[in-house]
Amino acid sequence: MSRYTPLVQQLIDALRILPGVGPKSAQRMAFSLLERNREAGLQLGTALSAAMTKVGHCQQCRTFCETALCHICTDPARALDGIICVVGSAADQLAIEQTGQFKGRYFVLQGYLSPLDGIGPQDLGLDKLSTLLAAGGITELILATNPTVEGDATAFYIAELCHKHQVSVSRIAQGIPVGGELEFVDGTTLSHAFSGRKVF
Amino acid sequence: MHAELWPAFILHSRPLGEDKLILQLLLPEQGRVSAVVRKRQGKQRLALQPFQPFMLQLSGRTELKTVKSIDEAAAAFLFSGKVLYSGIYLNELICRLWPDNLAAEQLFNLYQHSLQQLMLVQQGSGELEPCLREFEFALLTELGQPIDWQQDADGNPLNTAWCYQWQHEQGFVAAANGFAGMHLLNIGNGQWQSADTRRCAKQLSRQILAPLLGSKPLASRALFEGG
Repeated sequence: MSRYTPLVQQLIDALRILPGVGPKSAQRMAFSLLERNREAGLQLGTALSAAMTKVGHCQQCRTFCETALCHICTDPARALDGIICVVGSAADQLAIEQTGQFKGRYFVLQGYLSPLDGIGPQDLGLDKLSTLLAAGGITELILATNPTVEGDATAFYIAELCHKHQVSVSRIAQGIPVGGELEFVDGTTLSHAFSGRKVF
Repeated sequence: MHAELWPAFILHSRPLGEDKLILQLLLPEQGRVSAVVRKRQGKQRLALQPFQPFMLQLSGRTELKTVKSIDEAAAAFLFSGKVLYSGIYLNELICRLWPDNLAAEQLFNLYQHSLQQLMLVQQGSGELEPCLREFEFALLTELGQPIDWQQDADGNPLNTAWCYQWQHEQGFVAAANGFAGMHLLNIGNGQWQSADTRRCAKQLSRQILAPLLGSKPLASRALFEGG
């Protein structure tokens, strides 16, 4: 027998789908909303259902948006240099946008190639990326995938697509994080930092 | 009691909340083990990635262990391109085929040896296919399905001029067509120069692995096919 009434149980179960939310947190959230925040709870419900039904993917770069093309893909200024940056997630895209360093367009994979998780090239829209490369107009593709085994595999796969379509391809540098201490950095990062050293 | 230090490789990892991972590990004595690890061990930031030899301590009595401490034991194998796909393929094979809680001393050595071989391929002094085939056939031996490259199912020596079919649980059976005896002997002797021998080995390993893998195909093969 459930300890909760059916609707409360339903709410707790629904909240548990959120990343990092276990049964205790879900219970706390549910009770908090019911006890003193019903208005905000209703807003949450409305926002959730609106976003889940109306937010889709940009037809060109696959990032989340409600229109056919996102604001970056519709901005002609961002297509001027023909550079496209491939990132793993919308969160990665946002992190790069915040640096203000990159003025080109993106391609958001929404994941990485991971055979053990059953994620293959089709799941990442790589066929779409291939079509984009074949269409021409792209002068350089920058790989900004995570420096993990899955991120590396994805990068190599995309690099091969670029070679096939004769588009030049680069990958963002790997090295010591700002504010980091050499002593506590892992060996692989250190060796990347050494092999990628720059004239100073 | 002081927990023992074990050599280990990470085969796969999945995030667990913000700061933890669930690792699929390969250890010599314990075999394939699932364990939770914190991404940061104090100030130390570790690259918790496959193809990196680790030494670690495990705790816990349930199926899901906890990594108490983990340290790099040697430099990581830095693979790229097809060699990286191959490493991922080895990991997928082990995760799919190696039973839970089965000691893996031989497999661990075999895996480590194959990674070293792959490193040679990466450096341009070795060939990819023999490395993969030797791992597959040795893995089959470890799984209790050794292949006799000298004799057929009736105990007669394999004949270079004959063809053979592979029969599950029996071995090679002489047939009108199939795998050429010459290639099978080549495989057994580690003679990989002929492209036909390599093709024969690939077809044979796929045939023998297929029933073990069931209806779900190996996803890492898709990496080789595209690009």
